[in-house]
Amino acid sequence: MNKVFSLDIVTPTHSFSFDDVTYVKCPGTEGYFGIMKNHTNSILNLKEGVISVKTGEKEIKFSCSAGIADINSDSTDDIPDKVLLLVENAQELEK
Amino acid sequence: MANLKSLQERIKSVSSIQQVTKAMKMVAAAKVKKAQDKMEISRPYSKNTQDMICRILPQVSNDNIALVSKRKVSKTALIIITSDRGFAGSFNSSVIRLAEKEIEKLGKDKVQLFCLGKKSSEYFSKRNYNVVQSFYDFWKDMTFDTASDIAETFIAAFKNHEVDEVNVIYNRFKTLASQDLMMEKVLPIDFTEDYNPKDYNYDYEPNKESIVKSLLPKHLKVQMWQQMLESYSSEEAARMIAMDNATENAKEIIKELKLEFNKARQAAITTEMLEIVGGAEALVD
Repeated sequence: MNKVFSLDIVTPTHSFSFDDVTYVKCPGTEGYFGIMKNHTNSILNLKEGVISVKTGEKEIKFSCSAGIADINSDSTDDIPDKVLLLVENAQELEK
Repeated sequence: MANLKSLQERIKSVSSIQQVTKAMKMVAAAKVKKAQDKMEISRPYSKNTQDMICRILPQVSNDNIALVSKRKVSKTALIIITSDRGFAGSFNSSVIRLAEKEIEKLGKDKVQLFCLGKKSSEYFSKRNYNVVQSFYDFWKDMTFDTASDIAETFIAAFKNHEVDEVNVIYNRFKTLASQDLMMEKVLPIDFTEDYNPKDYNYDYEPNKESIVKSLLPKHLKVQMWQQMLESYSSEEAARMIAMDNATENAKEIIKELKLEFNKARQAAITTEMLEIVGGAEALVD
């Protein structure tokens, strides 16, 4: 089974899109949480911190301001899972 | 001969003005493009924020959320978006005119003004209107943070009951040649609620109410950002058209002056010839 999902990090001035994400770690208001495929549908508040995105072997990190995460997954595999992170500011961190 | 010289000087000065207006037109055209790109980029964020609010709002009681609750309007805030610089045709004057009309309708003492851009803040401060806050000198390097700061000021004023309604007056970009003069109510926020039973199966953390409460200011900030970008592109588009007209007019004037110059030159030559012929004839006699 394909274990990837799509992720969009959207800010008012730019956005980042990924199609084959296996795992995302986000700074929730009550601590960091991870998202994998088939996560429950949820909407969560984010606080400022670091978002780590895992695509295959690669891991990309972003610093972000407070925002909202919208996790949209369908139990059937026909529609790919979608995770949307709305933050006011996000910047890719240098390795 | 003095006439010829002064005509020549006028032609020279008009052509240098023409060069300047032509350059200003090109600069304005480039800025319109840049502002429109920014507008395009901000759209997904604003659309997603709005969608999310529309989905969650029907599920919470609106009484506890200050930004959507309507109350009796005794004080209104007007946010007037103009530019810092002129040379843009009727861009600023049309906004100011609509604002004045609106203030007259509501009563001068019942309106608080938030002026964006030097043009409106100078105009309204000079005429003793109640200008609560002015923002200017930001257009050149405008960032989302500017919009966010401005939005925060009027959100605070609304939350502290200093004002009961907030309206924005600005030019919306339509085409390069035309703008729509707009007046939009931003607070209290009106939403067409979008009821979808699927949304009830969502997990909300910490809870729906606090999510809505954190989403609403975000929505207002991005809305402010977009309105500022709309106004900025309209300004540059208006400037582009104004400068294009100025260039055309300069061309026209140069043409007329050149005609006059040639006539004067020809007249001078004719007189000189007549003088020479007359002199030669006098010698023969």
